[in-house]
Amino acid sequence: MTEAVLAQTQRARRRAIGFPAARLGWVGMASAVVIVLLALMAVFAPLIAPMDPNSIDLLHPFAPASSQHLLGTDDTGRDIFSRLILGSRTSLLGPLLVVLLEVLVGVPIALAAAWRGGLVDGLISRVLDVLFAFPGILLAILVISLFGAGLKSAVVALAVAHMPYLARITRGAALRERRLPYVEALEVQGFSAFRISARHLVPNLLPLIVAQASVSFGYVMIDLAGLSFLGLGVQPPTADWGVMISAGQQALLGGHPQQSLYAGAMIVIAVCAFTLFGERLIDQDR
Amino acid sequence: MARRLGALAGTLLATSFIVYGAVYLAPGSPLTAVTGGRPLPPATLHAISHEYGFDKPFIVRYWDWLTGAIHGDFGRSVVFRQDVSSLITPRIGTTAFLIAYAALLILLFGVALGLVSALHKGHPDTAILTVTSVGTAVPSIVAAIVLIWIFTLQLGWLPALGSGSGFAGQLRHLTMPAVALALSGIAYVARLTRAAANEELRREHVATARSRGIPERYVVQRHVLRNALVPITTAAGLTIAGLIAGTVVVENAFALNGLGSFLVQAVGQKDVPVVQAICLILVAAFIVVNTVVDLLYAVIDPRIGFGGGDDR
Repeated sequence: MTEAVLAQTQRARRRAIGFPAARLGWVGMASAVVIVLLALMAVFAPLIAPMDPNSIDLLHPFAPASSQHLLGTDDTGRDIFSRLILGSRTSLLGPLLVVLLEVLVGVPIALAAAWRGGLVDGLISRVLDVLFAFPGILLAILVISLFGAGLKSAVVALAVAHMPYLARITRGAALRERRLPYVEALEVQGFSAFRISARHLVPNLLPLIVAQASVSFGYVMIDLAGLSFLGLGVQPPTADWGVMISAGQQALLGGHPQQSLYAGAMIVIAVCAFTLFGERLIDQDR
Repeated sequence: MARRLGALAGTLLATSFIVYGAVYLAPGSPLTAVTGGRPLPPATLHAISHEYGFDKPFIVRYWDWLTGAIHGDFGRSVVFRQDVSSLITPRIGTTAFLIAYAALLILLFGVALGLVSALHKGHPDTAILTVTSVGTAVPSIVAAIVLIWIFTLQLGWLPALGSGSGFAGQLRHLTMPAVALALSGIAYVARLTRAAANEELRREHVATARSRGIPERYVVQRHVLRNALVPITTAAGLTIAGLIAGTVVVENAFALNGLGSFLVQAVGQKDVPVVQAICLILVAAFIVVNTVVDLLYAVIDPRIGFGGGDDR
């Protein structure tokens, strides 16, 4: 019995430790590389951008691509390339904040539900069910209609709307993990529920949580870009990919699709990277 | 069955409470939320206050609003000074048409692409898998921009803006919006159909059927598709329910005169009764579609009973 428990604990440990070197396949690795590049781009944006993203040059609207403007200029002569690079900041920061909120609220809730069971579990599950009934972007619009447009309202609302997915999956995994003999062994040794959760359950669930957070990042990014497109999220003239699509729509109808298409391409690349990375992690965790 | 419908009623009640009660979480008094802080003469303020029943307790007001909503009465628009229902009714058609069109595209192309992918290994499978992997990551606004660029500006085939009139006009005007709305759903359903069909193809009953010389068409129809139908229905159903919220973005991208674009307009004008009404309608539709999908399982797979609780 003890040996079996020990082996189980070690297996669980190894799983947690093995995570950084996980075999993700080339798609997963490529996604990870893209994510790192995007993060570097956002962090060092002001250094990389060749021009001031907000400097207006009304004499040269819709300038074609040249050595000075790598991707041309928009309707007010701003450098599209620089705006795309600076735009990575709000476009990535928004989903990052949402996902962090999701994890900070969703994981403790899921662990509490799985650990206590009974009434606590029932209550938490009902609340999650009701939140599930709200499509994310609709809840965000409702909140924004009351608290005003902006990134802050959008982030909080989307965190509330997307958290139930993470919580439900984490709860299911935590329930399975809790039934493993090593947890019982630790309980018998007198460790507190909090300690067992923090020291053993969370590390063992971490690959799953990271994977889900990564997938969620992609979906949140789509929702946030949609909100910014509607004028309810990030506000112009801030450089943001969703805002750029929206701002470029008039130009698109006038025959200058560059701004919208490039900003759209950046969103697709980022969403692809995060969802594919998350999916590969989920697959190899199984 | 009764349990499912009970849960449906409970969820509807809870969400309607959130939609209505959210106004009272907003900073400032509910009266300012309704008037949007516009400076109005005291007599008007008093009249509005009385009309919305702010002199009555919250729970009574909520109940009045809810019972009114069930009978199709959502109060009066602050901006248009008209009944909300009379403003909303003409716009429901466009939104419903758009959702139905996109749902049809998802069911047709999603399932077809997934089956082709599963049954034709090699190049077709790889191509479809690659396209659908990227496709799920394409937001509807990006799809909208690319479609307008190709089909309106380059080819000049389809109009970029407006809802059109008559069935043929609507079909023409709503084709690009429906494709933009359905695109990621088609990709998602195709991937799930492929996975579900592959799983069935690996099973012994399919190998047995093939070894008995049953024609491939029947093997696919009776053994693969029939068994893969439960996961496919789940994926398609949830995706179609998701379209309901997606219309808000797409209607704005194509300047359609539907509920979604009216919702965003009402948010901009701080027309709270309109926002509440449209949110309630869209959320209720979302919940009802989800429940219908749940009920469909039992029709497709008789082994699944109603109301069985699982702990996942």
